[in-house]
Amino acid sequence: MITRLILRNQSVFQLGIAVFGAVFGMLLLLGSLQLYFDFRDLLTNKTDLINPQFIVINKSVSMLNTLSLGNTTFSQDEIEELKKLNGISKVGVFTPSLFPAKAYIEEGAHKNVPGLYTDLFFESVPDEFLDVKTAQWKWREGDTNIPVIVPADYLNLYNFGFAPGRGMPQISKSTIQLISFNLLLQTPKGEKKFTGSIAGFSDRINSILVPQSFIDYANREFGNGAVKDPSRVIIVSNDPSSPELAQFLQAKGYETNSDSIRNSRLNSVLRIIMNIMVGIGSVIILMAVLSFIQYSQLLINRSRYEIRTLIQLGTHYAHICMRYVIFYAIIFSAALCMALALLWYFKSKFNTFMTEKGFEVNPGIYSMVLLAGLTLLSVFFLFTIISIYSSVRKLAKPQ
Amino acid sequence: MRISLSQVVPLVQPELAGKANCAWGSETQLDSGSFYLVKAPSGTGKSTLISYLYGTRNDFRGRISIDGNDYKTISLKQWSVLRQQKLSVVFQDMRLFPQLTALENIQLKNQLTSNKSVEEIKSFPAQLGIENKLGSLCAHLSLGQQQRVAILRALCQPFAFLLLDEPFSHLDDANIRMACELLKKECEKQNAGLLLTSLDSNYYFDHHHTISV
Repeated sequence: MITRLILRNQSVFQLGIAVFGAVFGMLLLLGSLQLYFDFRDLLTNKTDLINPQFIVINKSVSMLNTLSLGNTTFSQDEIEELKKLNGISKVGVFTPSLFPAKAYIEEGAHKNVPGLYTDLFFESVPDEFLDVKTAQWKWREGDTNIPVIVPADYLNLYNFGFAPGRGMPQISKSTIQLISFNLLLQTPKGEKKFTGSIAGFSDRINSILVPQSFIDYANREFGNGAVKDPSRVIIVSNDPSSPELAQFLQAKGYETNSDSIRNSRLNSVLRIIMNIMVGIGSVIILMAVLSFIQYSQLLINRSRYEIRTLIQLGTHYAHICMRYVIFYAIIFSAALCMALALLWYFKSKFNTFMTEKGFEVNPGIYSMVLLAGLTLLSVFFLFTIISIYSSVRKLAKPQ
Repeated sequence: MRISLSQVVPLVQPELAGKANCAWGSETQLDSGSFYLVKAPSGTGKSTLISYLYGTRNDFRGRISIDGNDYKTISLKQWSVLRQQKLSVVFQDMRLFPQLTALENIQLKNQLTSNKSVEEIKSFPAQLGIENKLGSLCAHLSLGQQQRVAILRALCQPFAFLLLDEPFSHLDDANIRMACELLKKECEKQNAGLLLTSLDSNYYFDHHHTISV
């Protein structure tokens, strides 16, 4: 009977607008969250999330560099700056060889392998950044054989570009690892001869790599004495598609060939769109909260005779507030359910659309999204309850 | 139970104080078990006094206390308990809910205290002659019928003091007599006090104290 008295003076139109605002705002906010999670999964495939990604960075080469007016090396400060970036767990530098080197294979030394003579350079990176794990990858002073890692692309270039055109046989990875070649290092004390063998192929690092121990030794023994800053660094990023990293690299004029960095541009555009949606959703939610507060005031105001009389008859004001709270609990839960139902509907449409386009998306709604919905519900509730209690209490007080 | 007024003067009508034999600005005690008649012409603050005693207004100077508890220190929660258990009231303007029936209006009060059974409530109206109006919306009742509903609603709870603000203004003499008998009986049953404002009549309360305002 009390409920009947105090909830009698409804304005269906105003309540409807407030509910519509709440549903629409929640849908927009929750929907953009859900979309954000979906796209994030698409852009950073799951393995990247678990395995941090290795990214090789260099400075871009311009006309100035060609004219020897600029330099493309990383100073110690720049490396320290990289280390401080968010999400970067390790930074390794490439150590270049400071001596000229030549490699050659004598004609007929190996069956089916053409003779070859080439100038070479070497680099090394700390072993922890390598994607090739092999027992051959070691060098100690006194060893005459130097293991070398070359980019996997080199073998592909030879096998699928060079060899077929020349009518030469293709070579498998395991075959090429059996081939040894001669290395001539030019030192101030004359040429120094070593043998080399291919220890593996790297997909990650686009360089001719020798063990760090060899580079250190050879630069010391045969180097021209100049200490060169590294021109390339390799970083380990936990979130390679984060826009922050891409923005940093761009601002610094650094280059990378990592796909995930390129994704980050798309990612940052998406984030902007999501932020706009979240912004609009928040504004609508805020207005819905305000209109609910106003509506609760209106309802109380319209029932002020009933409320005051009930209190004068001995009803505790908190008891009256409770009836309103229950009423709004039902309204807000219904609004949230409607928003979630609509979200579910649009999500399933979105799933079908994405599947047709060949993308794989998480079919469900993220628990984070549900959590956000419940948080919104509590926000609505909290503000309305505060408003109800304060205005009913005002009516309860002696005049 | 005792309600004490000490030097109480309405803030809006300070000129009321200072008259001889007047409740305003003096020391007055109201005890349960006694009947008090506040007889005065209009505009002398009879309804104001009722509002003060019932705790719906507190714009007065001085002190009102109930069993030693200062009205101005009583919490809203304590007021709701007082109004359920100790103080009952008939407002001058009745304050019924026009959208509820007569019976619902009475039951609404009884729901708070569960003091009377439905049978008791239904047997009450016969004593005031409105038993055939119980199912009607209060909006459709005459003022006299509404006054009787308001009186019945006030009787539907335990009380130590019953405050009535010109409760018979729309009743004929026969009905007033019936109402007085019922009020006296219920007050005696609960050993309650009664305070009634009236323009000039004593009605049918033979043994009473007169308070002037």
